[in-house]
Parts: sequence; structure tokens; C-alpha cells
Amino acid sequence: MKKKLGIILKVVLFLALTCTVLFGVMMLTERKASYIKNKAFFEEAKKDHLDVLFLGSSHVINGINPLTLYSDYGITSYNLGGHGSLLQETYWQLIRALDYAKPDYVVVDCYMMEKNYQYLDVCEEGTSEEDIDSSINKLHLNMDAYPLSKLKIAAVNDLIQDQDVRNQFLFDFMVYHDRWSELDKNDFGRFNGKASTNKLMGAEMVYGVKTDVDVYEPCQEGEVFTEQTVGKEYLMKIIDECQRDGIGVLLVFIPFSAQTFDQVTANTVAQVADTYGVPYLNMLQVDGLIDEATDLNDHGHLNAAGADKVTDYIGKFLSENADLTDHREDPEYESWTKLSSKYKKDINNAILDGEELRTELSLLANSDYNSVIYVNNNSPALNDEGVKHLITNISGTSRIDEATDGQPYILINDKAMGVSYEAVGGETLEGVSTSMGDMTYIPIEEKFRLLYPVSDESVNYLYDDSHTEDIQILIYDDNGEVLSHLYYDSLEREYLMNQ
Amino acid sequence: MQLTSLQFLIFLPIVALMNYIIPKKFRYIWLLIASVCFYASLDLKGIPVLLFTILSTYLAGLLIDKKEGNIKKVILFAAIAANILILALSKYSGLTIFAVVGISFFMFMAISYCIDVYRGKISSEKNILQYALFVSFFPNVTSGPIERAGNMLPQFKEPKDFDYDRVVDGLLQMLWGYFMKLVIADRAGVLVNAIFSDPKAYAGTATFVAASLYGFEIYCDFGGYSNIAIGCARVLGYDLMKNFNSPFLAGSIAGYWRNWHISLSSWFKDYLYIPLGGNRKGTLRKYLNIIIVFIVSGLWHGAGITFAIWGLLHGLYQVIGYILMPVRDKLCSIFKVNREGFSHKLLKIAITFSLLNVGWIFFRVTNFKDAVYMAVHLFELHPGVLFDGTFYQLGLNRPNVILLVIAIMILIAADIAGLMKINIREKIMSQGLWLRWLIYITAIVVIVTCGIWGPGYNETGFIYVQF
Repeated sequence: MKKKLGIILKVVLFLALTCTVLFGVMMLTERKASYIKNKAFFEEAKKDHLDVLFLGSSHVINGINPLTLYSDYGITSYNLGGHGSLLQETYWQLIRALDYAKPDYVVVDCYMMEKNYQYLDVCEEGTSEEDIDSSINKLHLNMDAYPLSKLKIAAVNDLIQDQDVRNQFLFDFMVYHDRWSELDKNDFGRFNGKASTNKLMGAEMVYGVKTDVDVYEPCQEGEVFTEQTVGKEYLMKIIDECQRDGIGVLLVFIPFSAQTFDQVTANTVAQVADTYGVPYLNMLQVDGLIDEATDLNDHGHLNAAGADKVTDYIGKFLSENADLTDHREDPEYESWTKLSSKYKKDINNAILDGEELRTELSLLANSDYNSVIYVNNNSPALNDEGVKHLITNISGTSRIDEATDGQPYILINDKAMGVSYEAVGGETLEGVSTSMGDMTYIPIEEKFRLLYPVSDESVNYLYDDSHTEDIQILIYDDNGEVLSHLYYDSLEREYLMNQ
Repeated sequence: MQLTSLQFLIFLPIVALMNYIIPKKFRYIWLLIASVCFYASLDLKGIPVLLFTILSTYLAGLLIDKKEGNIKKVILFAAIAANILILALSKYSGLTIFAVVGISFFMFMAISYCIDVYRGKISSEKNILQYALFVSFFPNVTSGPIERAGNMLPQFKEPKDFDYDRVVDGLLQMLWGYFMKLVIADRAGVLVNAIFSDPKAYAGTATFVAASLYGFEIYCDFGGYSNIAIGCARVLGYDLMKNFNSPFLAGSIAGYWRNWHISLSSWFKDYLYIPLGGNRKGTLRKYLNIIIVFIVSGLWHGAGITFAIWGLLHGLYQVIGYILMPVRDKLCSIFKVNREGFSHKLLKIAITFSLLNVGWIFFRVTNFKDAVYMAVHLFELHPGVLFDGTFYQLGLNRPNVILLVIAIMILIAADIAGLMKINIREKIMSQGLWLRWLIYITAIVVIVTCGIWGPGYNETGFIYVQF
């Protein structure tokens, strides 16, 4: 008997040790995307710091910045948007999140409410294998960070039809174990908490600028679809759930290059909102909210500039209607203040680095930096409506359009002094007042143009033997100190910065 | 439920636990139930065929035991003919009703039982359930080892008591089997599939490497299966025969066959080669018998012409080997070769391995023209492919290729140890607890982490299951 007990004890101990080691290996090999996205959520939810949750697809991930919302309105929120998330997954995301957080308000983006299929591993008839794989893959971003629970099983069963695929979510080691060959420092950082994680409270800002605007047939005014889609059904469930728990609901439709059917969907959401008596912001219909030629990263997603505008719009609504506490002066939320400052600093650094012209112009338009933008004779950029529109966005005039026939163009935009000066072709600027002092600009010829302070004519900011690029941007602070001098080549319209 | 499935890893502990709880005299009933369930989970439609084999050979055994004279021969012939007919139909007719999992294996076991009874080596088994368990025992029903009734039936009648060390030993052998299958075979398979799918693009050295890797793939696939099966049976308290014994370290093709798929080779020797006359009817007849046995062995694997050529090739290797023996002896004496020296042994192993590679091409490629092309260009030298990153572009990245190479080196080291009669499992089990457990846990972690499994992995994909 004693021997038997010894064996049983040994077996139990061995199994426990093996399971512990395997658990460590699972943590190590797990793809970290979900952990990176949700780590701060679990931490802030535990501290009951989250007043608002943003839910929806990648439109939410890229379109709403919780740190901007905090720095401008003092509202604390988390962006729980999921790449490719349909409303059924958004519903389950909410249910999972409510296990951890007690928000006062939930903001739901209703993009893709017209989708009428249940299972993400089946999708619509004719969906390619590649798209189905992508759909399954994206669901991992939302799911993986949540531990195995009855709720997770229910969610997986509701979203996935195939049992084998379900198992991948319930026991994701079967998918990730072969990551052993691609492990990096961040994977090991999972053990000591030093792994780099999302610092934007779940959001991901993107900085590309899609300057060509897609044009779609507008839908008929008030046109809606009447079909009872799966998307609509789950939106109703989300509202039901929130109303049952006493959580405020705001429905939104985040702007993008909306096709006709998207516009119809956006109209249909209004019906659902009316039925339930919940507010709805259809931002496709808000004139002047975003500029599709400057505020989109791609067809469907806002860039950081667009996200700032949309976040501000929602922030204004929430601050006026939702009775949320402004936490900015509360020392308990100091980490939020630090993160917001860091975000701003990162953006400022990105402006000073200026890797790509269009992104640079987009960020400059929304920054406090003073700048000089110079486009040389015969620059292809002068025929690029997108770039010209971005410059117009900064100058506030359309004078760059006068730079036809390859004439040079200069803009001195001094935000500190609230002035801007432009010159086209052979025009000069004589002793104009800026934070750098009184400045003079004289375009003598393509390879010889002058921009110098009146106080020191030996300086020429536009002349540099080692640079032949056709576009230059000079960034200076309010004391006139030059912080960055950027040179761009218009070759193939890539506009990449040269050192 | 295959031996590499998660279900099996749940199934086995339950079966083992019950096996030791149930009184010894009823254990065979429990194991039969478990075996039938296991087989049904793999191939429900195969149950009637399995049942036919069990009943026909069981009855034949009883009758052979009772009858005398020619009638015994008629009964034996009828039982063998009926089963071989079904086996032939399953392989060559395309009738899916007969193409059931493990047919080649369990029928050979049942046929060997009848012949052994006929020869008087064993008595017929009266207990039909014990006999049914012999034919359908779940560890080896699908892919062997092709057991003999003389070894298994006495074990079923007298089951062993629970022995902790024996169970651990069985689990270790299973672990080694999983390592061979999941870490080596399925990883090598990725490169092999890529190269064999485009013979012209990879002619020469790459093909030679692929053929070598295929050798390791099939060895680790089937050898891995055998280790899992033998280990699993040992966990339950039963000893199955050894199926592989460092085959790639053999210095001749005949030596290779003494150590490769031992249960099948010995089956052919006992039940085909010897009845044909073996080496007792003169040299020419011996050569003919060898050729016949190996062609039949090729056809046992499949109906394709390439399998027959593979068998023929192995037969010819041996016949030519025998014919050239005096020449080889003469050359050794002229050049004063030390036949016991390491260099000579290594050379023999390398030559045998290269000859095997030619055979593997015919075993692996179903298209005869492609096989000939690959075999003709096998020894063309394009060593650049070994260094220009070609092998990192075939579905495995660099760390995976490196892991494959290391794993094969571990395999070779283990085989060398086996050849030197060093029992690695015994050595491990004699270490202190901390080192033992460190080895066990490391092995488990390596297998579950670096093994090829998960979405897209076909766990029924043991190569020998199809034969």
C-alpha cells in the first residue's frame, strides 16, 4: 500500500511539474498580438479606471484614440475594436469585457451590420479559403488574451462552426507551438512583464495618407435595408445587454470612403437606434468632419489626423451627454496623463523625423510646429493634386495651384505668430516677420534660391551642396531654432525623406 | 483516433488503468472491447472484414487441429486463399469495401496463426475472444508489428502484474516514437514532398538529399509508429516483437533487411521463402526465391509498378551481392583491406545507404517516368544546393532545417547505441530522480513544441497505414 501511495504521489508530482513547464512554454510560444492589445485593458479594468469601452472593427482600432479623448476631455476609455470584427464578435467582445470592466458607456461602431452570416469559418457563399483563414486569424487577436472559461467556449461555439477550428481557440497552443522558431525578446518579456505592449489603450494609429478620393454613387436619402441580418440581430443584443446592465450606449458609424451599401447600412442603424431610444452618430453624414483627401490611411481606415477629428467629435458628444467624470486632475490617473504626453511626444518626434512627405504634411497640419515648405522649380509634386491639397490644408489658401509651368513655391507657416506667407514663381518675400526673425526669400534660379534672416545674410536655409531634392521642409520652434531640415525626392511620387 | 491523436492520449491511460483494475482472467475481454472501439474509431466499415478474418482463421485453426492428412492442407489452403483474395481485392481491385485499415497487417497475423497450427508449432486457440484480441490488439492492428500467435496468446492468457518500471519503460519508448514521428518524419516530409513534386528542378544532389531524407522520413514514420505501438503494449503489460534495429547502419542490403520491418521480413522468410525451398534447392533456385520474395514484398506494399520495381531492385541487390562476393573477397585480399576496420564498415554503410536511396525513389514516386529520371540523375553533383539556402525555401525555415539535422543526428546516435547493445532507456531510468525527470520533461517539451502537429496536420498520416 505504501509503495502504491509512493507511486501515486510521484506520478501526481511529475504531472504537476510537467504541466507547469508546458504552461510556461505555452506562454512563451503564444502569439503576443492579443496580449499586447489587451494587457492594459485587464490592468485598467482591475483598477476600475475604464468609463467607456469602444467596440467594433478595425475602423474603431484606427479611428478612435483613447489618449486623445483623455487629454482633451478627461474621459478614460479602452479601444476594444477587433480587426475584421463583425457585430456577433463585437457582442462577444462586450460580454467578455464586462466580466472584467464596469463601464458607464459603451460606444459601438456599426460597420458591416448588413453582414448576414453567423460563422466566421464559413462566411458567405463563395468566400475564398484565404479570406476565411484571415477571418479566423483575426479572431485570435480578440480571443487569445482571455483565459479558457465557459464564456469563451460559448463565444467560440457561437462564432465558429467547425469543431477543429473551435479547438484552436480553446487550446491555442496547437496553433502557436511552432512559433518556437521565431521567438524573440518580446516573447520572453512575457515572463518578466517587460514585453512591449499597446500604449494607446488598445488603439492603433496609422499614419499613411490616401490622397486620391474614391467616388461612389450616393444612396437615396433615408434608404435603408429591411432584412433582419445577423449583424442587426447582434447589435440589438448588444443594446439589450447594456440596457439590462444600466450601461449607456452610443451607436456610431465611423467615417471612411463609404460605398453605396455602407451608406444604406449607416441609415439602417438609425432605425435600430430609434427602436431602442439610444443615441446614434452617423459620421458619414457630418459635413466637414473629415477630409477624405487627407484623413484616410486607406479606403476604409482613418489615419491619425482623421482619428483625432473623430475622437474629438465623439468626445464632445460624451462630455455633453454622458455625465462622465473628468479624470485629468485626479492623481490616480497620473499614468494616463503620462501616456498621453508620451503619445504627443512620439508624434512630435515623428514629425521631426518626417519619413514620408504626405504623412509629414498631414501631421504638420495638426501640430503646433512652425514650418517652411519649399517646392522647387519643375517638381513633380506641383502636378500632384494630393500633395497640393495637403499643402493647401496647412496654408489655408490655394495659392500653390498658381505654381503652374514648374514654378517654385514657398510657404512659411508660423503658428507661434499666427501668420503665414506664400510666394509663387519669381515672387519674393522681403523681411517677413517670423519666430526666426525677419526673413527674406528670393528665388533666383532652380539651383540658387535664398531664404535668410535679414540679420545674417550669410545664412541660406534653402541652399545645401549635398542636397538636390526638389522639396524641403524646415521645422523650427517658437524661439526660431531650427529643429529639423527635411529633404524629399518626388521620384515615382514616393516622396521618401533623404538624410 | 490514431496513435498521435489527442484522443489516443486520453484513451490509453483509461484503458491502462482499467486493465490493471480488472481481474487478470477478464483483462482480455476489456482489451478486446478497447481494441474494437479503437479500430471502429479508425474505420467502422472495416469491422466486417476484420470479423471475417478472425472467424475464418479461428475456425480453420480448430479444424486443422482436429483433422488429419490432406484435409488439413485443404482447410489451410481455403483459409489462406479466402483471406488473400480479400487482401488482393483490397489492393488491386479498387473496391473500397475491402480497402480497410490495417488489412495487410492483421491478415498476415491471422494467416501465420493458421500455418503455425498446421505446422504443429502451436495448438489452435479455443477461446475465440482471446484469438480475436490477438488479431485486433489495438497497438499493432493498423501497422504492426506483425505478431505471431505463439508470442501473444500466452501473454493474453497470463497477463502480467502492474510493474511501475515497466510502465515507465513503455512510456519512454512511446516518447521516442513520438519524437521520431512528429519531430523527424513529419518535418523531413515537408522537404521531401517539395523536392519529389518537382523532380526536374531538383535533379542531382538535392534529389539525393531528398531520397536520403525520405529514408529517414519513412524510418521515423514507421519506426516511430512501431515504438509507440510496442511502448503502448508494454504499458499494458505485453511484449510485442522488435520491428527495427538500426537498419541504416547495416553494411549490406541483406543486413538491412534483417533489421528493417523485422516482423514482415521474418514473416516472408518463415511463410514464403522457406516454403519455396529457401537455399536448400541450389544456388539458382535460392536467387530465384529471393527475387520472388522481394517482388511479393513490393506488391504487399501496393499495386503500383514502382512498388514491384522497388522489390525487384532489393532482390537484385542481394543476388548481385552474392554473385560478386568472390570478387569482393579477392579485392579485399589484394588491397589488404581490414574488413573489421571502421573505415571499411563505414564505406559499406555508405554504399548500402546509397543503394537504398535508389530504391526509395521507386518506393516514393508513383509516376514511373519521374522515378527513372530521378534515379538516373541521383548522383549528379550539384553541391551548391547545400549552401545556397535552397533547403530553406522548401517549406521549412532555417531553424527548422537545423532542428531536423540535429534530430537526425540524435537518431543516428541512438541507433549506434542500439548496435552497441547500450539500452538508453535503461541508462536513463538508472539515473537520479532529478536528472530522470529533467530528461523526461525536456523530451515532452521538445516533442509538443517542435513536433509537427496542429491545424492542417493529418494525424492519420502514417505512411504504413496505407499498406
